[in-house]
Amino acid sequence: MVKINKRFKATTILESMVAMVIAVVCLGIGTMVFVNVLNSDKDRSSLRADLLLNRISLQLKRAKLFIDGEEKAENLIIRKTFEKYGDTDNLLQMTLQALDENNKLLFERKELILEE
Amino acid sequence: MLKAGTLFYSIVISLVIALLSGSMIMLSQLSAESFQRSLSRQELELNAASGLNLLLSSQTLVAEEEERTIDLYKNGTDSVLLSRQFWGAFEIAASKAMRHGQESMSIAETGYSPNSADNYCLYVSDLDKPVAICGATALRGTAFLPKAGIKRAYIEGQNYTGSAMVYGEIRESAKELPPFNKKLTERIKTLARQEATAALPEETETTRTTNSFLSPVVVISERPAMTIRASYSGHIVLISQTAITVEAAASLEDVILCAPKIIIKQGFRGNLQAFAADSMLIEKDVVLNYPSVLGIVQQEGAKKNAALILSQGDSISGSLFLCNAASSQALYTGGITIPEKAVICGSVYSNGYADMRGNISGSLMCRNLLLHTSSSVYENHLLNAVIDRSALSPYYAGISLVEETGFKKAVKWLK
Repeated sequence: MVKINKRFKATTILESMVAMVIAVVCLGIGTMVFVNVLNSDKDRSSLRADLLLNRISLQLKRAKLFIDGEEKAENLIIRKTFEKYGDTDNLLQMTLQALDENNKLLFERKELILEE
Repeated sequence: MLKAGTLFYSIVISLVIALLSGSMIMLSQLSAESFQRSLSRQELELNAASGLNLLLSSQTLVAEEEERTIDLYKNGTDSVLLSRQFWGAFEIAASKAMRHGQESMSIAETGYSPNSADNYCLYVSDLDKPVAICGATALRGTAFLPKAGIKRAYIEGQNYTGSAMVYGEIRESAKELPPFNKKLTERIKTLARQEATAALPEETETTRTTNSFLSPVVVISERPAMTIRASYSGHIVLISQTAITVEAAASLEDVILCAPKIIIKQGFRGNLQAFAADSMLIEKDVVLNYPSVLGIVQQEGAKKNAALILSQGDSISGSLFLCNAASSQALYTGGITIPEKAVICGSVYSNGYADMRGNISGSLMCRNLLLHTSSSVYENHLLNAVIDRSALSPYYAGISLVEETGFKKAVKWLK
């Protein structure tokens, strides 16, 4: 039988526990950051949809094309609806919706426009 | 094998990671908040613009001189405060969108764009006399003329030089001129009776009086004659019970002048609405920018002739009208004088005569035409007058001189 005379340096169980707790807290914070970053990506797609709807609204008003319909633009589905507003005869409510590929509503824009 | 100091290292590294993660969280949070704020701002601006469009439509929700809050899309989140108030011959439409303490405002001076029925260049009522034209007269657009028609004439050594009598359609006019917009005359008479809310400031050429259209109107009313040399702009009405003289050095923007007699001195430039009860004299080289209005509304029973006299070199963008009182002893003897080299871009109405020798890009409606020359006065004659309806911009919006028809339109965005 071989006798071991050498002393090994080791961490105490307390040290290990504290280090593990710190690691877990850091991991938790990291996860939150990850989720937030994912959320900011959601904001980015909303912003993209908003900018797209602004552009489409301008185009429709310039061309005076007030017809209900759906179209695809920049990987989004754009739904356009126009309805008479209240008891007026020259005012339309234009609703533009941007939906993703799963038909999930990303952004909606409502506006009253004069029909000359 | 790790040393026992691992705890120290792990704490330091964890702190660094925590700081980095924390700052990323904050950055992400701030950017999300700022994005939401900008979306909310955009929605407010959109709602304010939609509210203004609602006021420009054929709506019945908000009456004249009324203020009302409405929920635009009936979902409890898109409230707008809409208001309509008269501003001389125009109307001010204001729309204020509110949400979570934030607000956005759209405010505009509104008028009417002429509808297709108003697309005439000249309307002269049928007094059983033809219209005679000479010199370089040009009538472009539909002309409503007396049954006796139109003929060439030779005055002051000048024969008619055009290839056609009217460059457009000729239609028959009625015996009576379409009556002037009654609502407008009532509004102008009410305006002249307004009580003062402020005193006339001590005038020097550097005095500047500005009042936003978001604030209540400032009425400066004086009994004696008023001479304006200073600068006035915005929601201000200047009234004199005697006369108003506007010096060339004065600076007027969007204000209303109201007096029995108004004189605008040579070389003045500005943008205003001026309403007189007796006479108005616009001296040489006056430039009134769009949308300006010059109008005479005679009081009932007036004995003097009403007159709106322009001078050579004047340039006016907007509307001019003269409305003789129906019960006046001087009925129909007053009129508008537009001399040569005077340019008008807009519409002119006179229920008396029109002495027209200038250039109108727009329309002229009058009871009869008078031509004063050095030697004589000719009835229903035009000499070197140009009236071109097609030269008026299709985007022009002015006031409804006859009745309020056509589409309401924003004439000018206000602050």
